Amino acid sequence: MQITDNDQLKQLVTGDKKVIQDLYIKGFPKIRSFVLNNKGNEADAEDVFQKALVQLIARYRTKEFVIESTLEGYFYTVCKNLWRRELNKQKRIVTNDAIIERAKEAEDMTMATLEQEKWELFQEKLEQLSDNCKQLLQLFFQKIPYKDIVDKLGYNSDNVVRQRIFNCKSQLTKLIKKDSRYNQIKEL
Amino acid sequence: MKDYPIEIDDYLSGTMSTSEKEVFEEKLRTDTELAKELKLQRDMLAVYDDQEWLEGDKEILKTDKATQLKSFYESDEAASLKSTINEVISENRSNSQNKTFWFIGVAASIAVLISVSLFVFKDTNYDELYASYVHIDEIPSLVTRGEDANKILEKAQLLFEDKKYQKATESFAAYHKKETAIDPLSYIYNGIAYTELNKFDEALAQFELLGNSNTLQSKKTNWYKALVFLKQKRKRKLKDVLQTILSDTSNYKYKEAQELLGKID
Repeated sequence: MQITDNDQLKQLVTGDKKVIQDLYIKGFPKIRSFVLNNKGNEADAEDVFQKALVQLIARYRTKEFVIESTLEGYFYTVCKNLWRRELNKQKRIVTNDAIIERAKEAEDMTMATLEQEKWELFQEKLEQLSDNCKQLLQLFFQKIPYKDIVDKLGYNSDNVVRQRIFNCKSQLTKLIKKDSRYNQIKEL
Repeated sequence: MKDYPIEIDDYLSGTMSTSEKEVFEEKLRTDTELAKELKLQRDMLAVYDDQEWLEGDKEILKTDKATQLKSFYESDEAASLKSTINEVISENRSNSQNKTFWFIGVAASIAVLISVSLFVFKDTNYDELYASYVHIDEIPSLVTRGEDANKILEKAQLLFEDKKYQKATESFAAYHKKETAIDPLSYIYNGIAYTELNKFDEALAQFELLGNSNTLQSKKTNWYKALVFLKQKRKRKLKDVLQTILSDTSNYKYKEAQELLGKID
């Protein structure tokens, strides 16, 4: 019988060492190279792996969920985001490697988890838009000027583009607000 | 549901005139709906531009969901999960594999020797029991993580591995004196070094520090204290601390504690 990614997720949540090992062997090389290519070292990569896995399990324990893509791919995204978050934090605070108290660490991991959930919600909703909207918004969010978008996509004027983008963004806003998960994290 | 107010876009893109901006900001102060809309649009800009990570407001920690997550992260279960993951990482770490195998090899041969001698001498021999339980190979290495390893610590571990325990304790003492952020594993190494030197009070002091370090390693304290008492042949103390370990099945080395208690009784 084929073991699905969601079966694997279930086993993973039990803290089964064998399953953790499988995930490490399959997934860690990619995570490691992402971290090393982005100002991190070996120890950072290991830290990210550990935290992402605990996060995944904590989320599942709080509320069960299913993975739409593959477990490995999904886990990789979580790791990438955790590392981006870490880099963002380092910009503001100079971290010394002092031992963080357990409570402080738990608090930080909680924040990271909720931020990740928000990120996922936003990405999921963007995916639900039409291809045209997605394309326009991606350019908009990358801060490409309206007039460049006009040229690139062959619109008639700035105003048409502006109006299209507003419409797409309104749709996206509505989708996000309509989702029950948004109410739980909107304070974030 | 109606569209969000379009002036938010003008405000965020910086295309408002100074007077428009003032009017808008004044409105923000009284209109909480508008303020919420602005926050969402701002969050969207931050999340979708894919550059910076959007850090949330800590206010959310007061919600039920956050409380649930936080209590999981603080639980012993999460702590043991972390140690399992770390075990997997260190067992599979490519650059330390040779060393791990070497340790396992030594430990295995000691284990074989000891099980042989246990057949020969039926009486409990505390020194042998100590040797069979100390498992130096189980202590994660101090120096394999990253390039910028601490030099004193590296030296201390090498001395320890060479069984130059006196010199090792001197190096660990130097490290503890110099550093403010101390790797809790160093207490374990140093404590064992003192135990090997039969300096039991010093050893117990190291494990006391380990217990107070408030780290994932702290929960190992009782087991290491047990090893000190075992080598010291203080049966009463040993029994007490083993009983403490046995009070909770999730305690570090629960099974070994049970086994050891059976052997000394």
